[in-house]
Amino acid sequence: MLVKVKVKFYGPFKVLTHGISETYVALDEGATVRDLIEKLALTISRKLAEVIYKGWGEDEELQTILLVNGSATTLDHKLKDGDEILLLPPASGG
Amino acid sequence: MPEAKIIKEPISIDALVNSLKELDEEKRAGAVVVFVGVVKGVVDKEKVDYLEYEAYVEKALEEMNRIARELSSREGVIDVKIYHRIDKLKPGEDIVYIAVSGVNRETAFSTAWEAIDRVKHEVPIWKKEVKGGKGVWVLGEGHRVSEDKL
Repeated sequence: MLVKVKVKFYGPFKVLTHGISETYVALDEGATVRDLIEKLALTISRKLAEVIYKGWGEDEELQTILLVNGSATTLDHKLKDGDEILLLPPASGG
Repeated sequence: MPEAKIIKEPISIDALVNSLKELDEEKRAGAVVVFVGVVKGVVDKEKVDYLEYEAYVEKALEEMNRIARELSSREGVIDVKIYHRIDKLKPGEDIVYIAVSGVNRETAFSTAWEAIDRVKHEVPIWKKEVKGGKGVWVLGEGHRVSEDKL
């Protein structure tokens, strides 16, 4: 059985997706956020996975925040059908 | 009343200051401090064409309102308003407005300082600098990533 999730991209992530701000991804049941990132790496950009795993720079604050249905989560979180995953780069308002 | 908004057009500073004074029915305020963030025309010795701001609007509003509420509940702080513009902004244009009324200037200045600092770090808004036609994303505290290197 497959689960279908929605992924939304912001800021520089949209450069990696060539302007796409959201997409739907089908995954095997029991798939984690890491499985989703790996699928995005294969279908969209390997760089997308690299910045999530390694950060946008050396500083600790330069990490991507992963949200599932509005709550911060980790790569090992198991996804459910209908989940919404947001990839938020480090903020730079003001 | 603390308030936060994501806006596209600039606002009147006079109207902003008056809104803080008019709602202060007991006239407790001894100071109103307004901070306006402005688009710089030169960054790292390069001319800036424009900045482009993008927000995760729903969450950004939630976070900005939380910051305004938290700060306005502190002793000596009367009101806090935070307005952030998004989309394309040219050098000289206003980006963000922080307005704080407090019982004295020390409280108003320090609260405005903390408010803008927290907006920069806690609110999901992203900034792209466009210089010489090339985009550079600013991430966190001044880390820059060129679009052509992504």
